[in-house]
Amino acid sequence: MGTEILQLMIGGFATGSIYALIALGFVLIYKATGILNFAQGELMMVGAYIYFALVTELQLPFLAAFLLTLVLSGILGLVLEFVFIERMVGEPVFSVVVITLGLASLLRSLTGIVFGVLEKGLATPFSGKSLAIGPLVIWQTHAYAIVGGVALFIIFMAFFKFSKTGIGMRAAAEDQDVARLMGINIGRVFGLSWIIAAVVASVGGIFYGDLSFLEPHMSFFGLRALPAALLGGLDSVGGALIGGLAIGLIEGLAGGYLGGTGQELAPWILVLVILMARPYGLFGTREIKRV
Amino acid sequence: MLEVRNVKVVYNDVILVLKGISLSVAEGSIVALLGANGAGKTTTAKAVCGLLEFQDGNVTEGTIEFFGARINDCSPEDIVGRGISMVPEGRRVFVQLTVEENLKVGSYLRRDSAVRKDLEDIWQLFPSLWRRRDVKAGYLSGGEQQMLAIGRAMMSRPRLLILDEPSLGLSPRLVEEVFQVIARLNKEANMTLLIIEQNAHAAFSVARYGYIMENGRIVMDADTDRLVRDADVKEFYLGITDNTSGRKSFNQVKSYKRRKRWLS
Ligand SMILES: Nc1ncnc2c1ncn2[C@@H]1O[C@H](COP(=O)(O)OP(=O)(O)O)[C@@H](O)[C@H]1O
Ligand SMILES: [Mg+2]
Repeated sequence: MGTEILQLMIGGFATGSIYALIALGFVLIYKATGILNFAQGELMMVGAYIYFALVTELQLPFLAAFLLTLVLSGILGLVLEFVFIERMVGEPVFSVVVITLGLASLLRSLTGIVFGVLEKGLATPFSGKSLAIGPLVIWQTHAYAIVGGVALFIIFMAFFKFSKTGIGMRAAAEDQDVARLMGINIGRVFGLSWIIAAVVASVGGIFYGDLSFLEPHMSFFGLRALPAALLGGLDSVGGALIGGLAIGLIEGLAGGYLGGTGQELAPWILVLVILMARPYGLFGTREIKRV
Repeated sequence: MLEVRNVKVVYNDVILVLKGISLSVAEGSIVALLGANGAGKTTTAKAVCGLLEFQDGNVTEGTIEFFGARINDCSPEDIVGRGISMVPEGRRVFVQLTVEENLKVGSYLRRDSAVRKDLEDIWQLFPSLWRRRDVKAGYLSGGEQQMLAIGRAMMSRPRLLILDEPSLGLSPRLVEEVFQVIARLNKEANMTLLIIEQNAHAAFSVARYGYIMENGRIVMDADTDRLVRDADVKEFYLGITDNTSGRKSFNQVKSYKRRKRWLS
């Protein structure tokens, strides 16, 4: 393989792992609450701005700013869930989805008011630095986005597979009433889903801000993670990772060989084709047919 | 240990489903709650477990007490924590979770160290579940799912176990197996049980005391060996008549209807 295609693939996987983090948020909230959260991209955007404020205003070093961003984003996710979503429990799904759309514009406007609408540069210790692997020269940010994204995914997959809380969240996703009978507090499951969704989105936001720049409308990048979530299956955590990486890869390759329009269209074409064959996505579950 | 006193339940603020029912379950006993479809048995169980508020239901009158404490307005997790566990109608295992994960969810609220030992006990009680512990519960047979639902409820270490129609949809042989397990739980683990059933044969095989429910009311209650001899119960719930051997249909059971009217 030529180095050019390898370069494109690594760039694609880097974007893809950011998509995967945002798709994970879509999936978690969908699984827990049955709604598609259209403010997912805004959670990413706000997370990036939080990090930006911590390093520029408070002059915090990278690691401190990064960890504090996770904490503050988690709190934001919890507060948003409590204020806007909790009271909508039991209302028609469509109304709740519209609420998330409203929430999205609210977050964009507030960010614009606080930070201005002009583009801002976001710096991490990896910004602008490259890394040579044999003949291949790649951006450090790309490498960290891939490694960090995949590592976060492994952590969350282990959480859902092995921890009592994680298993309980999966049980609640399947049958809320029976989960209640087991002593699971559904309100807390909702809150925790929003916390995790906001935390992973903020990590994606920091990497994305580093690869590109900050502005309130960067949240629309988050909507481009929607095909990733659909491709993997809206209710599959592992699917979000595979879907995100696949979409990132195809976008990177299409961008390199076909140009901007190809880059825009390729993910949606891929999703259309896959969904026609598998309406529930690659790893989505419908229901088990008893043998 | 459980005292339900004159409880009325209304759905959607208008539909009166429980019209003032009372029943009590003593520690260590097995009590049966019998009634036809739509009588209000499941509603009674949901009222005890605190699930009504999520279905637009409301206990508008009466009290539900567990060990002397009023639990009318408690949340389901609070009630589980106090020691009431339910096997819901239709089993409702978590089909996407493995057998072992289902059991873990059953112990969700527990922080004590005996969870592992209790899990071992469940495997002992249901060896077939042990063999399939890593299989998604959706792939189990109906009988295995019923055993899993019972095991899952046991994992919270309840003091009272409520089973909502455990015989539903099972073959006679499996019904017998399930009720053998119920009898064992009572005898060996000294579990207190409230069994909701339409299958009076099965329920009477283990319960000492029974309540009969019709249209949101308790129409009769007595020791089960007396209920078995009652002509109306015999006709309507056991399908036995003294002169014919065939099962009677509902509208043939005139005396039952007369009696019901008289009681209500
Ligand atoms: N969520 C609900 N909303 C309105 N009516 C209900 C609801 N659940 C049950 N009912 C009604 O209450 C009555 C009793 O139902 P249920 O308690 O399920 O009876 P059973 O378990 O004895 O078959 C039925 O007439 C049923 O239609
Ligand atoms: Mg019922």
